[in-house]
Amino acid sequence: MRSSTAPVIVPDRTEVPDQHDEPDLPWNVIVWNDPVTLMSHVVYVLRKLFGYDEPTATRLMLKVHHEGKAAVSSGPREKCEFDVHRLHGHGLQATLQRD
Amino acid sequence: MRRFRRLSEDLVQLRLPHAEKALLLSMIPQLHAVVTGGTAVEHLRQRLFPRAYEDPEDEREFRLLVGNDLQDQRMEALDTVLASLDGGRTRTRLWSVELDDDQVSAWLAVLHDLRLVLAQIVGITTEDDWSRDPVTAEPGELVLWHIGALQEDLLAVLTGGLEQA
Repeated sequence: MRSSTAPVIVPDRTEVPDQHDEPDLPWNVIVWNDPVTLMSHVVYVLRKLFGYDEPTATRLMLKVHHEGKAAVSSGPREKCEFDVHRLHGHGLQATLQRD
Repeated sequence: MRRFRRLSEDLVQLRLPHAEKALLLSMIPQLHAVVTGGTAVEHLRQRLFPRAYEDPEDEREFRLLVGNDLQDQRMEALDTVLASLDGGRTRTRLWSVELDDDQVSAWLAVLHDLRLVLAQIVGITTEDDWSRDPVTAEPGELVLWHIGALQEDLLAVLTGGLEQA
């Protein structure tokens, strides 16, 4: 909070929030490549859990395969933890990362 | 021969030669032992229960939050698959059983987990660890290929279901 004695010359929106105290900063769910999981399994799980269409799920799967990882969903921490938990339940390697 | 095929909107048929059914039956108790855990299988168990966070404190809190949910899910899937292997019909060359949606999901989970654990045992940790030649492949790797073919077959049936939805 600004001090009441300070001159009000800076609009609120230019203040930089403390990143650790910012609850709305989005998190990303990352799926990691592994040499065992079938490509068709990744596509199926992404479609089933997130409702992606086939081209979107395939594009994400190929990104995982070629680049080693891909962000498959994002949002508040609780939602991302739920997503990671469901991905683990389907045998995928998934982690949470902050933007 | 396709092992899995859709019979109706709600039913999928699984047909297996007896030797393949026996192979799966022999592996289920071993997967069960990995899921229920113990220090001897901790390195295998980590493959089924991966980390959610790099940060140890975040990871500890996440584990407290999810509790035994993943282990319970996997035990339930194993029980479901075992029950379906106990049922079905045995003919001269083939055994067959009909599976509903929940049973199909359990089969997908168990086939996938079997491959994850077996790959760890065989020592496949990078893409380059796969043999390209079946003649020189380890027996464990051949089983991996075989279960992978079963899983591909099931995924084709399930993906067909998504397209109709």
